Amino acid sequence: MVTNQSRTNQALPSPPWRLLGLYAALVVMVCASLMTGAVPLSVVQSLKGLVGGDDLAATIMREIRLPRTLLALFVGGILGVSGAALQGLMRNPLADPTVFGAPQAAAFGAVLVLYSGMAGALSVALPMAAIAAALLSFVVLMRIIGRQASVGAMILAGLAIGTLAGAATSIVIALSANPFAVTEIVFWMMGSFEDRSLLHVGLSLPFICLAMLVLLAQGNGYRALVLGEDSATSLGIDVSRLRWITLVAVAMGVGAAVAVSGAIGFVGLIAPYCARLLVGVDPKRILWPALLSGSLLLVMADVVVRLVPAQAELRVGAVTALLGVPLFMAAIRQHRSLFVEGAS
Amino acid sequence: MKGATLHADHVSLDLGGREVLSAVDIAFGSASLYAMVGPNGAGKSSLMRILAQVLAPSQGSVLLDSQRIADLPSRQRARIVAYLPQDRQAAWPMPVRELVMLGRMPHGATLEQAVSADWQAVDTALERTKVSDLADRCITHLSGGERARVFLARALATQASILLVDEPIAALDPHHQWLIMETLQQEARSGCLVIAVLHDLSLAARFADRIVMLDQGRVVAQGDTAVVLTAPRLADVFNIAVRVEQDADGIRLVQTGRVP
Repeated sequence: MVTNQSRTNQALPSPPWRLLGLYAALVVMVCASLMTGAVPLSVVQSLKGLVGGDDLAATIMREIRLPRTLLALFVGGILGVSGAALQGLMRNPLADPTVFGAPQAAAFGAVLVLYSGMAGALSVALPMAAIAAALLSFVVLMRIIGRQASVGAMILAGLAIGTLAGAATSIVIALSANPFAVTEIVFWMMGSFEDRSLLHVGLSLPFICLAMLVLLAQGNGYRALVLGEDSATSLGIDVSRLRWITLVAVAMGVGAAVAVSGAIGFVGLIAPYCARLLVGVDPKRILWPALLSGSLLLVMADVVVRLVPAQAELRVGAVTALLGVPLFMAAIRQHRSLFVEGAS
Repeated sequence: MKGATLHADHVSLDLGGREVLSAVDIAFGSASLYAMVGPNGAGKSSLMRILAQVLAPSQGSVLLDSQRIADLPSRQRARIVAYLPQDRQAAWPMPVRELVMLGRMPHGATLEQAVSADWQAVDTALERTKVSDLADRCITHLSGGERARVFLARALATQASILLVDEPIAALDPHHQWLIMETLQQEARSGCLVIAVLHDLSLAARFADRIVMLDQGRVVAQGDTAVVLTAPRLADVFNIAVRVEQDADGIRLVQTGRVP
């Protein structure tokens, strides 16, 4: 019995201090995000502004910095856990909503309702349209590549869907009656948390939180899929159901995130990568750390864009792309063999 | 639930207009080691997938103790039937012990919630396939033969009453082939129904209690080893020339050539 217990501990090599480090970093960055902005506020002023009062500090904290921080926290979290879930489902470290073209499709859905005059920028129709478009992009992707897709097929199909969605978006903008639409949409497409209100938070959080809970609950399924679909089925996992639950939840989360923050890429690739460094490769065990890493990454990126002196504020999507693209290329290099072996 | 039986009841399978299995009707009795043999493309793996409920037949059904297995809840079915597919994958470089623990999933055990009985089952399975010393190694760092034994340990860890294994000895050296066949035989002796797809007819003859021979999606023979594995039938189905010898342990096959 003693031997078994000691082996139990051996088999769970997840040092809690690493996760604690992640929590601590997140708390520090959230505080930094609440303290960073054009108007310098002391810690006491910031705290007072958060909990009450109706002075300038309270307005800045509750109308500007709190919504911005909350959105970065939750959008980062859903993008991180979505990447981890898709990687578990596809059994592939390169799977990511951005690589699949889902954010681009979601952006198209949002732009379509926004610029066709069907809904305003603070209507629930906006996230719904983004979710529907993201889901449609997944369905098309799965129809193209099938279940046992090679990495190459997956990336190419994702590229095609992303490009198509981008083209469709530019057509919608060109046909739009609003002359400022082009500039506005180009900035929005790069992703940002600037000028977001608690209404944006309220609009997206229900979808994002539901998607997070659903994805976090699928860990056993992703873990069984390590052995392949046949073995997972024989272990009692309904693989087809798992696939649909994952795709619908990721579409819901990513769609809602894109609707309020624009297309922020590669968080779903970077966050699971960081989570694996912390807790190992187990597809179930990385879900929560990937969520936290995604949050940390976006809150951090959003602080960085506010600190860099620039004419117009840097876009958080540009920062994550700057970090994510080199990592993506490194991952492709590391998994080069997959492109050769998985040619079927 | 040792002593379970399985019945492929007039199972047919069409894939893309091609008839893969045609009205296959086999009753697998309990506490026996069945060797399923046949040339490449005979439909052995497809039949195994249907028996494991991974693939639905076009016609017919699979009965577990005269109950349709498709009607069972998937978790309950997974506790009774353990399946090791031909294509053995490990998508992520996981430690061997954690991989084998996946075999306890039908019992509700996860790495986070496993009780001592689960770890005991994992350790026993690792020991039986002689991979205990690899328990903390990463699966992707093992040789083909070591991996094959780890995957078999994963199937054994379920402690199911029916064990379906597709080519369990394909990547193994002769010593480990013998070891695995002995393990499967012990499983059968302990009351488990074991069905193994085998290409090595000599080992099938040496270890199996009964043989099922498939060819072109049909059962061409089934029954006792000596009745099924005859020289004329092997010449007919496998196009090989074989000398069948009888000794104290049963029959022995010596391949002397191929039929042109």
